[in-house]
Amino acid sequence: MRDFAADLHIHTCLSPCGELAMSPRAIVSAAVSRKLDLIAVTDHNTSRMTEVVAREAARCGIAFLHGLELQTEEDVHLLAYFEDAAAARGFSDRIYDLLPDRANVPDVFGDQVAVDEHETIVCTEHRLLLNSLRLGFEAAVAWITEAGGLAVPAHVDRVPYGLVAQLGMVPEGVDLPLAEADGNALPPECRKSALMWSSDAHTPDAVGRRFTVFHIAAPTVAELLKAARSEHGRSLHVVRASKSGDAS
Amino acid sequence: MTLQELATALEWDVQCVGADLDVAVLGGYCGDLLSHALATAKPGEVWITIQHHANIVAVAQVTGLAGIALAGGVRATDAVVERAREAGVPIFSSADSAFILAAKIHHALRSEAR
Repeated sequence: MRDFAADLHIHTCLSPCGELAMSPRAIVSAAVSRKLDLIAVTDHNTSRMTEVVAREAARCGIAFLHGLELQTEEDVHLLAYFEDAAAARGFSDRIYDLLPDRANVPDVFGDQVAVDEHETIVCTEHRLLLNSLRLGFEAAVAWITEAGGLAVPAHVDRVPYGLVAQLGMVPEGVDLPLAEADGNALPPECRKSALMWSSDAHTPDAVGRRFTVFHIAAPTVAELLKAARSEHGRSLHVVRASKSGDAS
Repeated sequence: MTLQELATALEWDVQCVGADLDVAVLGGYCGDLLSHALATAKPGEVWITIQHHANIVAVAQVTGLAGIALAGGVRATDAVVERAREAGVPIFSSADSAFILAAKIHHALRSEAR
Protein backbone atom coordinates (compact mmCIF):
# COMPACT_ATOMS: atom_id res chain seq x y z
CA MET A 1 0.00 0.00 0.00
CA ARG A 2 1.25 3.48 -0.82
CA ASP A 3 0.11 7.05 -1.36
CA PHE A 4 -0.98 8.15 -4.83
CA ALA A 5 -1.21 11.92 -5.27
CA ALA A 6 -4.04 12.00 -7.79
CA ASP A 7 -5.54 14.71 -9.99
CA LEU A 8 -8.54 13.00 -11.55
CA HIS A 9 -10.19 15.90 -13.37
CA ILE A 10 -8.14 17.34 -16.23
CA HIS A 11 -9.40 18.58 -19.60
CA THR A 12 -7.44 18.21 -22.82
CA CYS A 13 -7.53 20.40 -25.91
CA LEU A 14 -10.47 18.31 -27.12
CA SER A 15 -12.80 19.93 -24.61
CA PRO A 16 -14.03 23.23 -26.07
CA CYS A 17 -13.09 24.96 -22.82
CA GLY A 18 -9.66 23.30 -22.67
CA GLU A 19 -6.76 25.36 -24.00
CA LEU A 20 -5.06 24.20 -27.18
CA ALA A 21 -1.93 23.95 -25.01
CA MET A 22 -3.52 20.99 -23.15
CA SER A 23 -1.70 18.37 -25.19
CA PRO A 24 -0.76 14.92 -23.84
CA ARG A 25 2.85 16.04 -23.45
CA ALA A 26 1.94 19.28 -21.64
CA ILE A 27 -0.48 17.58 -19.28
CA VAL A 28 1.92 14.80 -18.32
CA SER A 29 4.83 17.18 -18.00
CA ALA A 30 2.77 19.36 -15.64
CA ALA A 31 1.80 16.25 -13.67
CA VAL A 32 5.47 15.26 -13.34
CA SER A 33 6.49 18.71 -12.14
CA ARG A 34 3.65 18.69 -9.60
CA LYS A 35 4.83 15.27 -8.37
CA LEU A 36 1.50 13.61 -9.10
CA ASP A 37 1.41 9.80 -9.13
CA LEU A 38 -1.95 9.30 -10.80
CA ILE A 39 -3.96 11.36 -13.28
CA ALA A 40 -7.13 11.02 -15.33
CA VAL A 41 -8.16 13.15 -18.28
CA THR A 42 -11.85 13.86 -18.34
CA ASP A 43 -13.11 15.61 -21.45
CA HIS A 44 -16.73 16.55 -21.80
CA ASN A 45 -18.77 13.54 -22.93
CA THR A 46 -15.85 11.78 -24.64
CA SER A 47 -12.84 9.61 -23.81
CA ARG A 48 -11.28 10.06 -27.22
CA MET A 49 -8.05 11.64 -25.93
CA THR A 50 -7.39 9.28 -23.03
CA GLU A 51 -5.35 6.62 -24.84
CA VAL A 52 -2.71 8.99 -26.17
CA VAL A 53 -2.38 10.68 -22.77
CA ALA A 54 -2.17 7.22 -21.13
CA ARG A 55 0.81 6.31 -23.33
CA GLU A 56 2.57 9.56 -22.46
CA ALA A 57 1.83 9.02 -18.74
CA ALA A 58 3.19 5.46 -18.89
CA ARG A 59 6.37 6.73 -20.52
CA CYS A 60 6.86 9.09 -17.58
CA GLY A 61 5.92 6.61 -14.86
CA ILE A 62 2.58 8.16 -13.96
CA ALA A 63 -0.44 5.96 -13.35
CA PHE A 64 -3.51 6.75 -15.41
CA LEU A 65 -7.26 6.25 -15.46
CA HIS A 66 -9.40 6.76 -18.55
CA GLY A 67 -12.03 9.35 -17.71
CA LEU A 68 -14.94 11.37 -19.08
CA GLU A 69 -17.00 14.19 -17.67
CA LEU A 70 -20.60 13.49 -18.58
CA GLN A 71 -23.29 16.15 -18.65
CA THR A 72 -26.56 14.46 -17.86
CA GLU A 73 -30.03 15.41 -19.01
CA GLU A 74 -30.44 17.51 -15.87
CA ASP A 75 -27.18 19.42 -16.60
CA VAL A 76 -25.35 17.58 -13.81
CA HIS A 77 -21.62 17.06 -14.41
CA LEU A 78 -20.60 13.50 -13.61
CA LEU A 79 -17.09 12.07 -13.79
CA ALA A 80 -16.58 8.48 -14.94
CA TYR A 81 -13.36 6.47 -14.53
CA PHE A 82 -12.26 3.28 -16.22
CA GLU A 83 -9.05 1.26 -15.88
CA ASP A 84 -9.51 -0.32 -19.22
CA ALA A 85 -9.08 1.74 -22.41
CA ALA A 86 -11.52 -0.46 -24.34
CA ALA A 87 -14.20 -0.12 -21.67
CA ALA A 88 -13.83 3.66 -21.74
CA ARG A 89 -13.93 3.70 -25.53
CA GLY A 90 -17.04 1.52 -25.63
CA PHE A 91 -18.75 3.71 -23.06
CA SER A 92 -17.75 6.88 -24.91
CA ASP A 93 -19.12 5.50 -28.21
CA ARG A 94 -22.37 4.55 -26.49
CA ILE A 95 -23.05 8.00 -25.09
CA TYR A 96 -21.96 9.87 -28.23
CA ASP A 97 -25.27 8.91 -29.84
CA LEU A 98 -27.07 10.58 -26.92
CA LEU A 99 -25.37 13.91 -27.53
CA PRO A 100 -27.55 16.43 -29.39
CA ASP A 101 -26.51 16.87 -33.00
CA ARG A 102 -25.63 20.53 -32.52
CA ALA A 103 -22.50 21.82 -34.20
CA ASN A 104 -19.73 23.42 -32.18
CA VAL A 105 -19.17 27.12 -32.83
CA PRO A 106 -15.43 27.46 -32.08
CA ASP A 107 -15.58 31.25 -31.78
CA VAL A 108 -18.13 30.89 -29.00
CA PHE A 109 -17.28 27.62 -27.24
CA GLY A 110 -13.65 27.03 -28.28
CA ASP A 111 -11.90 24.54 -30.54
CA GLN A 112 -12.46 20.81 -30.16
CA VAL A 113 -9.34 19.18 -31.56
CA ALA A 114 -7.71 15.84 -30.87
CA VAL A 115 -3.93 15.77 -31.07
CA ASP A 116 -1.32 13.01 -31.10
CA GLU A 117 1.78 12.59 -28.94
CA HIS A 118 3.67 15.05 -31.18
CA GLU A 119 0.98 17.72 -30.66
CA THR A 120 -0.16 17.39 -34.25
CA ILE A 121 -3.89 17.89 -34.74
CA VAL A 122 -5.35 14.59 -35.93
CA CYS A 123 -9.02 15.54 -36.10
CA THR A 124 -11.63 18.11 -35.20
CA GLU A 125 -14.82 17.15 -33.40
CA HIS A 126 -17.65 19.06 -35.05
CA ARG A 127 -20.44 18.12 -32.67
CA LEU A 128 -20.57 20.33 -29.58
CA LEU A 129 -19.26 18.21 -26.69
CA LEU A 130 -20.25 20.60 -23.91
CA ASN A 131 -23.92 19.73 -24.08
CA SER A 132 -26.42 17.59 -22.19
CA LEU A 133 -26.77 13.93 -23.04
CA ARG A 134 -30.24 12.51 -23.41
CA LEU A 135 -29.50 10.42 -20.34
CA GLY A 136 -30.75 11.01 -16.80
CA PHE A 137 -28.44 11.14 -13.79
CA GLU A 138 -29.40 7.78 -12.26
CA ALA A 139 -29.17 6.02 -15.63
CA ALA A 140 -25.75 7.57 -16.22
CA VAL A 141 -24.49 6.32 -12.84
CA ALA A 142 -25.90 2.86 -13.61
CA TRP A 143 -24.33 2.74 -17.09
CA ILE A 144 -20.91 3.72 -15.72
CA THR A 145 -21.09 1.09 -12.99
CA GLU A 146 -22.29 -1.62 -15.37
CA ALA A 147 -19.36 -0.85 -17.67
CA GLY A 148 -16.95 -1.45 -14.78
CA GLY A 149 -16.35 2.22 -14.08
CA LEU A 150 -16.58 4.52 -11.09
CA ALA A 151 -19.08 7.40 -11.10
CA VAL A 152 -18.10 10.52 -9.17
CA PRO A 153 -20.27 13.65 -9.29
CA ALA A 154 -18.10 16.64 -10.28
CA HIS A 155 -17.89 19.90 -8.31
CA VAL A 156 -21.11 19.05 -6.45
CA ASP A 157 -21.19 22.50 -4.85
CA ARG A 158 -20.86 24.51 -8.07
CA VAL A 159 -23.73 26.56 -9.52
CA PRO A 160 -24.70 25.64 -12.12
CA TYR A 161 -23.73 22.09 -13.22
CA GLY A 162 -23.13 20.73 -9.72
CA LEU A 163 -25.34 17.91 -8.44
CA VAL A 164 -26.80 19.93 -5.55
CA ALA A 165 -27.65 22.98 -7.66
CA GLN A 166 -29.24 20.97 -10.45
CA LEU A 167 -31.09 18.34 -8.44
CA GLY A 168 -31.40 19.94 -5.00
CA MET A 169 -30.36 16.71 -3.29
CA VAL A 170 -28.83 13.33 -4.04
CA PRO A 171 -31.54 11.26 -5.74
CA GLU A 172 -32.97 8.49 -3.59
CA GLY A 173 -31.28 5.13 -3.93
CA VAL A 174 -28.12 6.39 -5.64
CA ASP A 175 -24.85 5.34 -3.99
CA LEU A 176 -22.04 7.84 -4.52
CA PRO A 177 -19.02 6.77 -2.44
CA LEU A 178 -16.88 9.62 -3.77
CA ALA A 179 -17.82 13.19 -4.68
CA GLU A 180 -15.71 16.07 -5.94
CA ALA A 181 -16.20 19.54 -4.46
CA ASP A 182 -14.72 22.99 -5.03
CA GLY A 183 -15.15 23.96 -1.39
CA ASN A 184 -13.33 22.78 1.71
CA ALA A 185 -16.06 20.31 2.61
CA LEU A 186 -18.89 18.50 0.90
CA PRO A 187 -22.30 20.17 1.19
CA PRO A 188 -24.63 18.51 3.73
CA GLU A 189 -26.63 16.90 0.90
CA CYS A 190 -23.54 14.81 0.04
CA ARG A 191 -22.48 13.89 3.53
CA LYS A 192 -22.57 10.17 2.73
CA SER A 193 -19.77 10.58 0.17
CA ALA A 194 -16.04 10.98 0.70
CA LEU A 195 -14.56 14.29 -0.46
CA MET A 196 -12.33 14.38 -3.54
CA TRP A 197 -10.42 17.40 -4.80
CA SER A 198 -9.03 17.80 -8.28
CA SER A 199 -7.88 20.65 -10.45
CA ASP A 200 -10.53 20.69 -13.21
CA ALA A 201 -7.56 22.04 -15.17
CA HIS A 202 -8.13 23.68 -18.53
CA THR A 203 -4.59 25.06 -18.72
CA PRO A 204 -1.25 23.32 -18.02
CA ASP A 205 -0.39 25.54 -15.04
CA ALA A 206 -3.61 24.51 -13.30
CA VAL A 207 -2.84 20.78 -13.32
CA GLY A 208 -2.45 19.53 -9.74
CA ARG A 209 -3.40 22.82 -8.09
CA ARG A 210 -5.75 20.74 -5.91
CA PHE A 211 -5.59 17.00 -5.68
CA THR A 212 -6.42 13.99 -3.56
CA VAL A 213 -3.99 11.57 -1.97
CA PHE A 214 -5.30 8.03 -2.09
CA HIS A 215 -3.67 5.49 0.24
CA ILE A 216 -4.29 2.39 -1.86
CA ALA A 217 -2.65 -0.81 -3.08
CA ALA A 218 -2.94 0.02 -6.79
CA PRO A 219 -4.40 2.78 -8.96
CA THR A 220 -7.59 0.93 -9.82
CA VAL A 221 -11.31 1.68 -9.70
CA ALA A 222 -11.78 -0.98 -7.01
CA GLU A 223 -9.07 0.53 -4.84
CA LEU A 224 -10.47 4.07 -5.18
CA LEU A 225 -13.81 2.69 -4.03
CA LYS A 226 -12.20 1.06 -1.00
CA ALA A 227 -10.43 4.32 -0.13
CA ALA A 228 -13.71 6.22 -0.41
CA ARG A 229 -15.30 3.74 1.98
CA SER A 230 -12.23 3.59 4.29
CA GLU A 231 -12.10 -0.18 3.83
CA HIS A 232 -9.15 -2.49 4.56
CA GLY A 233 -6.79 0.27 5.62
CA ARG A 234 -7.38 2.35 2.48
CA SER A 235 -7.95 6.07 2.96
CA LEU A 236 -7.82 9.42 1.22
CA HIS A 237 -7.29 13.07 2.00
CA VAL A 238 -7.44 16.26 -0.03
CA VAL A 239 -4.52 18.61 -0.65
CA ARG A 240 -4.16 22.13 -2.00
CA ALA A 241 -0.84 22.78 -3.71
CA SER A 242 1.12 25.78 -2.49
CA LYS A 243 2.17 28.48 -4.95
CA SER A 244 5.56 26.90 -5.47
CA GLY A 245 3.81 23.80 -6.69
CA ASP A 246 4.74 21.65 -3.72
CA ALA A 247 2.03 19.91 -1.78
CA SER A 248 1.08 21.66 1.42
CA MET B 1 -58.64 30.15 -8.29
CA THR B 2 -58.13 26.51 -7.49
CA LEU B 3 -55.64 24.23 -9.15
CA GLN B 4 -58.55 22.26 -10.68
CA GLU B 5 -60.04 25.43 -12.21
CA LEU B 6 -56.66 26.48 -13.57
CA ALA B 7 -55.96 23.03 -15.01
CA THR B 8 -59.35 22.97 -16.71
CA ALA B 9 -59.07 26.51 -18.04
CA LEU B 10 -55.64 25.90 -19.51
CA GLU B 11 -56.44 22.38 -20.73
CA TRP B 12 -53.60 20.72 -18.89
CA ASP B 13 -53.12 17.00 -19.00
CA VAL B 14 -53.39 15.84 -15.38
CA GLN B 15 -50.60 13.29 -15.05
CA CYS B 16 -50.99 12.57 -11.36
CA VAL B 17 -54.58 11.89 -10.45
CA GLY B 18 -55.66 11.45 -6.85
CA ALA B 19 -53.78 14.48 -5.58
CA ASP B 20 -55.79 17.32 -4.09
CA LEU B 21 -56.62 19.76 -6.88
CA ASP B 22 -59.00 21.77 -4.74
CA VAL B 23 -56.27 24.03 -3.41
CA ALA B 24 -55.94 27.75 -4.04
CA VAL B 25 -53.23 28.82 -6.46
CA LEU B 26 -51.46 31.83 -5.02
CA GLY B 27 -48.92 32.47 -7.76
CA GLY B 28 -46.26 30.89 -9.90
CA TYR B 29 -42.60 29.97 -9.78
CA CYS B 30 -40.46 29.35 -12.88
CA GLY B 31 -37.11 27.59 -12.98
CA ASP B 32 -35.28 24.34 -13.53
CA LEU B 33 -32.53 24.54 -10.91
CA LEU B 34 -33.89 22.45 -8.06
CA SER B 35 -31.71 24.11 -5.43
CA HIS B 36 -33.13 27.50 -6.44
CA ALA B 37 -36.67 26.15 -6.30
CA LEU B 38 -35.96 24.75 -2.84
CA ALA B 39 -34.70 28.11 -1.70
CA THR B 40 -37.28 30.43 -3.22
CA ALA B 41 -40.51 28.71 -4.31
CA LYS B 42 -43.40 29.62 -2.01
CA PRO B 43 -46.33 27.58 -0.71
CA GLY B 44 -49.34 27.66 -3.00
CA GLU B 45 -47.41 28.52 -6.13
CA VAL B 46 -47.55 26.51 -9.33
CA TRP B 47 -44.09 25.43 -10.46
CA ILE B 48 -43.45 25.81 -14.17
CA THR B 49 -40.47 23.71 -15.22
CA ILE B 50 -39.09 21.39 -17.85
CA GLN B 51 -37.18 19.47 -15.17
CA HIS B 52 -38.79 16.04 -14.87
CA HIS B 53 -36.32 14.30 -12.57
CA ALA B 54 -37.93 12.48 -9.63
CA ASN B 55 -36.47 15.04 -7.21
CA ILE B 56 -39.08 17.61 -8.38
CA VAL B 57 -41.61 15.75 -6.24
CA ALA B 58 -39.53 16.11 -3.08
CA VAL B 59 -38.87 19.77 -3.84
CA ALA B 60 -42.59 20.47 -4.35
CA GLN B 61 -43.42 18.60 -1.17
CA VAL B 62 -40.85 20.39 0.97
CA THR B 63 -41.73 23.87 -0.31
CA GLY B 64 -45.50 23.36 -0.24
CA LEU B 65 -45.98 24.16 -3.92
CA ALA B 66 -49.56 23.72 -5.13
CA GLY B 67 -48.43 21.61 -8.06
CA ILE B 68 -45.96 21.10 -10.88
CA ALA B 69 -46.75 22.19 -14.43
CA LEU B 70 -44.34 20.56 -16.88
CA ALA B 71 -43.90 22.80 -19.90
CA GLY B 72 -42.99 22.25 -23.52
CA GLY B 73 -44.71 18.89 -23.82
CA VAL B 74 -42.41 17.34 -21.21
CA ARG B 75 -44.06 14.45 -19.42
CA ALA B 76 -43.19 12.79 -16.13
CA THR B 77 -42.27 9.11 -16.31
CA ASP B 78 -44.51 6.52 -14.63
CA ALA B 79 -41.99 6.21 -11.79
CA VAL B 80 -42.12 9.95 -11.11
CA VAL B 81 -45.92 9.99 -11.32
CA GLU B 82 -46.05 7.12 -8.83
CA ARG B 83 -43.79 9.00 -6.43
CA ALA B 84 -45.93 12.13 -6.86
CA ARG B 85 -49.08 10.13 -6.13
CA GLU B 86 -47.56 8.82 -2.90
CA ALA B 87 -46.50 12.34 -1.92
CA GLY B 88 -49.83 13.90 -2.95
CA VAL B 89 -48.16 16.28 -5.38
CA PRO B 90 -50.20 17.10 -8.51
CA ILE B 91 -48.30 17.01 -11.80
CA PHE B 92 -49.59 18.41 -15.06
CA SER B 93 -48.19 18.40 -18.54
CA SER B 94 -48.71 21.20 -21.02
CA ALA B 95 -47.74 21.50 -24.66
CA ASP B 96 -47.13 25.22 -24.11
CA SER B 97 -43.59 26.50 -23.67
CA ALA B 98 -42.62 27.70 -20.20
CA PHE B 99 -42.88 31.28 -21.47
CA ILE B 100 -46.44 30.89 -22.78
CA LEU B 101 -47.48 28.82 -19.78
CA ALA B 102 -46.28 31.48 -17.34
CA ALA B 103 -48.13 34.16 -19.29
CA LYS B 104 -51.35 32.13 -19.30
CA ILE B 105 -51.19 31.39 -15.57
CA HIS B 106 -50.42 34.99 -14.77
CA HIS B 107 -53.32 36.14 -16.94
CA ALA B 108 -55.74 33.66 -15.37
CA LEU B 109 -54.81 34.63 -11.81
CA ARG B 110 -54.96 38.35 -12.60
CA SER B 111 -58.32 38.11 -14.35
CA GLU B 112 -59.76 36.41 -11.31
CA ALA B 113 -58.34 39.01 -8.95
CA ARG B 114 -60.09 41.84 -10.83
